[in-house]
Amino acid sequence: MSAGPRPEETGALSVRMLFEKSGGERYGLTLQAFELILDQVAMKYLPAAEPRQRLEFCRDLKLEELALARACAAGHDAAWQSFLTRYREKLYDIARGITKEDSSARDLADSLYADLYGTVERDGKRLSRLNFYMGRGSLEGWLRTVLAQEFVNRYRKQKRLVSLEEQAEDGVQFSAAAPGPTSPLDSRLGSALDEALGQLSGEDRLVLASYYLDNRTLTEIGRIVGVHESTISRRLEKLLKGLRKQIMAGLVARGMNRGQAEEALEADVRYLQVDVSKKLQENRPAAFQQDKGSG
Amino acid sequence: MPELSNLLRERLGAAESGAGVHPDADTLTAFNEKLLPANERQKIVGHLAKCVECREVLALSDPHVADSPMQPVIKPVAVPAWRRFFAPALGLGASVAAMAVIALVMLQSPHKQGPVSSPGNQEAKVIPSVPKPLADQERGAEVNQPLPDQPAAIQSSHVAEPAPSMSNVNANNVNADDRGRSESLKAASNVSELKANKDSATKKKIVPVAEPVLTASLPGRDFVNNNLFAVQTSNVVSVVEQDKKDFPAHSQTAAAAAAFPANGADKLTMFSDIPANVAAGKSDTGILTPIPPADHAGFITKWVQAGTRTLRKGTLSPSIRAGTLGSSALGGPGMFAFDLQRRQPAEVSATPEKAEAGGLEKSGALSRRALSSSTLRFQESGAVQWKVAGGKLLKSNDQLQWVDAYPAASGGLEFFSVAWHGSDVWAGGGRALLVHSRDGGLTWEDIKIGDATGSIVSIVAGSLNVQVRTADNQVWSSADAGKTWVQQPTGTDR
Repeated sequence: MSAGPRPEETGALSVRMLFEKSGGERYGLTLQAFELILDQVAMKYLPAAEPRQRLEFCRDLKLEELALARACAAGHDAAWQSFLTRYREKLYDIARGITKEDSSARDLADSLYADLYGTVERDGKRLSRLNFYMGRGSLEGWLRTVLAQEFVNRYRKQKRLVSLEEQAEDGVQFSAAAPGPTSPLDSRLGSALDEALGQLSGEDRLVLASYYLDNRTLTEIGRIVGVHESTISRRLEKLLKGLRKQIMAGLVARGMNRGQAEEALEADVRYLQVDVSKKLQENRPAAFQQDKGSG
Repeated sequence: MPELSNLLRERLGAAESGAGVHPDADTLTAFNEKLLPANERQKIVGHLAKCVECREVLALSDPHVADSPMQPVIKPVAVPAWRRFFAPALGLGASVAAMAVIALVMLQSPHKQGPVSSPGNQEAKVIPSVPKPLADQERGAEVNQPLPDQPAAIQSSHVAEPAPSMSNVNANNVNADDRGRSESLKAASNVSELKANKDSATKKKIVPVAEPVLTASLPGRDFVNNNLFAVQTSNVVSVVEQDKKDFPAHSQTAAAAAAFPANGADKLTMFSDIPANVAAGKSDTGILTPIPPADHAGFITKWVQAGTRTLRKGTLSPSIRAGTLGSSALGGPGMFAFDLQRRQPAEVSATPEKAEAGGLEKSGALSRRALSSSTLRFQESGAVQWKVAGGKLLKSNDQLQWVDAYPAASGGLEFFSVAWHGSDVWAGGGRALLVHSRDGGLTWEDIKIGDATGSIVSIVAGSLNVQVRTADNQVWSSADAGKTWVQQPTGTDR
C-alpha cells in the first residue's frame, strides 16, 4: 500500500483539486470555506457515505458555479459582477419564457433577485437563496427551476385569493353543484385498477399522469422522460392495452366473468360522463314510464 | 379506450395524494439535465408520477419551454410596395385613372391620330383632312341659297361633300376661282393674314395647301349624315352671311353649278369615270371624308359664336382626319367614312403636317397614289400660291398680295380652275381653254384638249398626269403632261 497515498491524503488532495477546479479563489473564497461547502453538499445528499464517496460525489458537482453562487451569497463583489454579467439577462429571459408576459416576468425575476441577494438577515448575516444551490445541476438550470417553483407558488397563492368578482366572472358562483362523492358501480373495478397501476413502473406512471392528468403533449413527455415522442406514443398504447388486460384479469380474479368485467368497464363511461339513462328516464312520457314500470 | 382513460384519471389523481417530500430545486435540475444517477432518478420519477406540482415545475423549467419566446403577437405582414398596386382599392383607383387617361387621349386624339382605312374595303383609301376644294366651298354656300333650277339631288349631294376644316379655310384663299366667292375670299384673306403672321413666327411651319378633291359619284345618299353636314355647313354659311356686306357678290357659283348636268342619280359624277391612276394602275377606290363635328371645327365655330372676325393664332386647330372624324362623330372608326364607287379617283388633297406624312406612308392606310407628290402638297412659307378669283388667275408669294398671273385673260377669258404642281401650273377657263406654265407663270402655252367643250371647272394635275373636267361633264386625261388627251367615259356613259 506504500505505492499509493493514504485515503486522508487522497481526500485532502482532492478537495484542493476541486477548489482549484472551481476557481473559487477568483471570487474570494478560501480553501477552507470551499471545503465547508462541499461538506454541506455531501452531508445533504450522502449523509451516510464515506469521505471517498463524498469526494467522488463532489467531483461530479458543478464546482465553478457552486463557488460562484456561494461567493455571491457571501457577498463578494467580484462574484456578483460575474453573476450579473452571466445570468442577469438570462434570468429575465427565463422568467419571460415561463410567464409568457413581460411585466410578470420582470416581477418574477426581480423578486428572485431579491431572494438571491438576501434581503433578510439572520444573526447579522444576509440569507441569500444562493446558499441553497448545491451544484448538482447547472446554476442556470437551478435558477430556472427556482423561478418555476416561484411561479407555481404565486399561481397557487393567487388561486386561493381569487376575488368574488373573479369567481363570478368565472361562473363559479353560478356553477352547478358539484356532484357528491360517488362510488364506482362496482368497487371491484377500482381495486383492480389500483392493483394494475401499482404494478406499473414509476416512469410508466409518469407517462400516464403527464398524458392523462397534465394533458402534456407527447413531445413534452418525451423530453421529461428523455425519449422520443414516438416512443411515448407506442408506450402509451402498450400501457393501455396492458392495463385493460390486467384489469380484466383482476376483475375475473375478483369473481366476475368476462362479460361482467366488460360491462363494468363500459359502465364506467356512463358513470363518469353523464347518467344518460337517468336523463332519458326523466324525459320520457309518463305513460311510457308507467308501461315500463308495469312491464 | 375512453372508459379506461376516464377511470385512469380518477385513480391516478387519487394516488397523487401521497406524493411525499418534494425534491429540491437542485435535484429537479439535475433530473432535468439527466445528471442524476439511475437509482436516484427512479426515485424522482416515482415522485413525479404522483406529484403534479413537481411535474408542473419540471415542465416549466424545461429549457425548451423556458427559453421559448413569448407568445408571438400577430402582426400584419408588411406588404411590399409593389404589391400595393394590386390591392383591390388601389387597383380600382388605378383602373379609374387608366380609363381617365385613355379618355383624355381619345379626346385629344383627333388632332394626332392618323387616318384609318375603311373596314369594309381593303382597297379603300381614307382621305385625311380634305382641304376645302373650291367647288365644295361653293356648295356649302349653295345649301342656304340653292339655285332654283338645281335639282334637289344635287343639293343634297353637295351637302354630303366634305366640309371645310381649318386647312380648308386656307384653301379658300387659294382655290377661290369663283367670282361669287369673293366674300369667302375676303374672309379667307383674314385667315391668310393670320396664317402669314403665324408663318412669320415659325418659318419652318408646314402648312397644307389646298388641293381640290375630286368629287366622287355617290351611288346613294343613305350614307350621308345630312344633319351633321347641315349644321356644319350652316355655320360656315352664317359666317359668310354675317359678313356678306363686306364681300362682293358671287357669280361663279351659280354659273358653275348651272353648267353641271342635272341628270338624277349621277349628278355628282365629277371625275367619277376617270381612272384613279391611269399611269400606275393603282387602287381606284376612295373614301369621302365627312366634315368634322362642331367641336372640331376649330376657330370657325368660335368665330360665329363670338360674332366677330377677330382671330387669334391660338384658336387655329389642326386639320381633322377621316379616321378621327369617324371615330369622334359616330363613335367608331370608319363609320362615317364611306366607300365611293369603284374606279373612282382617290385623291388626298392635303395633309396636316409634313411630319406626319412619313407616318401615313408607313401606315398603309393610304395608297401610294394618295400619298404621291401630286396630291400631297405642302405650302412652305414663301411658296407661290395660285387661285382663281373673279375669272382671273391670281398668284401670290405671301398670300397677302395677289397679282394677275395671266394678263392675257383680260380680253374676255375667264378662268374657273387652277392646279399646280411645283412650277407646273394648269389653269382652265371658258370654252375648254387650258393653259399650262412650266416656269411658275412666267410663260404660258395653250393646251388643246381634243374636242372638249364647256368650261374647265376642275383640274387635277400631277407631274405628268393631268385630268380636267368640263362643265359639259366631259372628263379628259393626259398622261404626258398635256401632249395627248383621252376622253374618259363618265358615269352617264356607263
